[in-house]
Amino acid sequence: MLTEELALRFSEACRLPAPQPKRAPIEVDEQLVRSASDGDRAAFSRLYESFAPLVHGILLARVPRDEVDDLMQDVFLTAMTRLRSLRDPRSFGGWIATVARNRATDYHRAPHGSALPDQLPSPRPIETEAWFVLEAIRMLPEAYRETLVLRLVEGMNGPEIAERTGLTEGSVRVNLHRGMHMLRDALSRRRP
Amino acid sequence: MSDYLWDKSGTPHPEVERLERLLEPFRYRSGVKPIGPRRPRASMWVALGAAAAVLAAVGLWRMVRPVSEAWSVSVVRAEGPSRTMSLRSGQTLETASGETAHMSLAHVGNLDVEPSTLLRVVTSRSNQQRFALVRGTIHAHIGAAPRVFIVSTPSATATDLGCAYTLHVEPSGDGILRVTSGLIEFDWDGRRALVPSGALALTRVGTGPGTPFFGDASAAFRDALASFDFEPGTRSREAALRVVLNSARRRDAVTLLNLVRTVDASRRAAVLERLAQLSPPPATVDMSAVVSGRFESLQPWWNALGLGHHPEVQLF
Repeated sequence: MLTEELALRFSEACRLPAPQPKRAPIEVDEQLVRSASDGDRAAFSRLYESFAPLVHGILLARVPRDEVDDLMQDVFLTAMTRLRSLRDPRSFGGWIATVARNRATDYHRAPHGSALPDQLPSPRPIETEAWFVLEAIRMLPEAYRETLVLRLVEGMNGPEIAERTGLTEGSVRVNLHRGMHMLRDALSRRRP
Repeated sequence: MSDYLWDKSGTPHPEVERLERLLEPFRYRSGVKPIGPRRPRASMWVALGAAAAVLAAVGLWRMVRPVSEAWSVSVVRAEGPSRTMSLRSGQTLETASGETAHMSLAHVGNLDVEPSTLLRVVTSRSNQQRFALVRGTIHAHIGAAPRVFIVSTPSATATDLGCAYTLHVEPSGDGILRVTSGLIEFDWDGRRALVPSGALALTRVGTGPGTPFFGDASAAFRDALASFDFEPGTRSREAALRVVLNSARRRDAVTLLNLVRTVDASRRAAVLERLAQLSPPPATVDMSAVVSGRFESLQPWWNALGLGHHPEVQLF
């Protein structure tokens, strides 16, 4: 468990943001996927906006944050070119999640294939403690870290995560609870 | 908690809610910026007068403000070409397993960043350079004025008092500081260590920095010091302190000088006595004042040990 004490230690730029409103569930529109598959850019843009948080979360759980935006573009570019190979439009979420995981794996396989930009984007300062917590999550086993990032960072709830990733609700629930337990342990080891 | 963690229903669990708020800045954001409403136009003269006042204020402010500065960074890869970039306040450098980086800022100094390091520039301004070393290793060579260059880690904050040093942070948040030149103030939550050139200090999450020591001290001395610094239990700490005092060499006086301030008041006299045996105090040291917890007069003792410090910095 985190404490105010720990928060204050790194609180020079401590500006906790207001909680985001709960995201309304977005069902995968089969026709949207089909239209995007047929080359409808507007449809693909809508898919992008719907699934960007999922892809962002999967990448954030696996690669340096500064690489996430570039790799997101790679993932959606790959998705756009290969969308025709998707047989069941309803499985778009699980499919693009796999594309994102594979892209993250490729990133780590490539010999230092990261592309650091001249100016790293930084829309606003992120306090140091948040980095420590994100690092702690990223050290958890893969299934837990991905689920926790989608829940705690991207703001999805359990049913949404299941719906988007194609995992069963039971698996997501287990990953959330075990992951939270492990995260709590990891963070408590940093306290007296 | 289970309901809120699972589907956000019910009363928000404080722990989960706090993590959500903490991590929210990492969340995906669409790149489209909303266009704000137009402001109503003021009259021309009012606007001109206001503009002149603003220009004057801006001019004055620009003359005295601390200027935001960017570090020049060269990322060197084991294979492939190096890349250059710049880092400003709020930006982060993360080196991969086969990468190193060299950072420089003209009037501040240089940083060499080892592989697998996550380093964040918290503030980079002309009057303050603050970094957060989340994990990994940096080698700092700093020429800035004392207390300008500061690196926070999960378990201690290193404040440069004019020096060169290596700071390593484990993924757990524990770390080690090795000073190669000058002096570092290493502190956490009121626990403070002065680490001079050639000395090391360990740091542990939840405890803070341990007492500085020289790497060539005996194993018995180092082990006992680690027990004293980081192991709970009054009796074991008492036993460890006895070993530290008995096995200290003259060169280990720096350790004892730091210990004077961190031991319980009841043990302060014993540490001072041993310190005096190893390195007799200058006449200006008021021993009774130190025993009673007023440490200002330790400064000449520090000077007599040849440990050095910036003349403008008050150490004790």
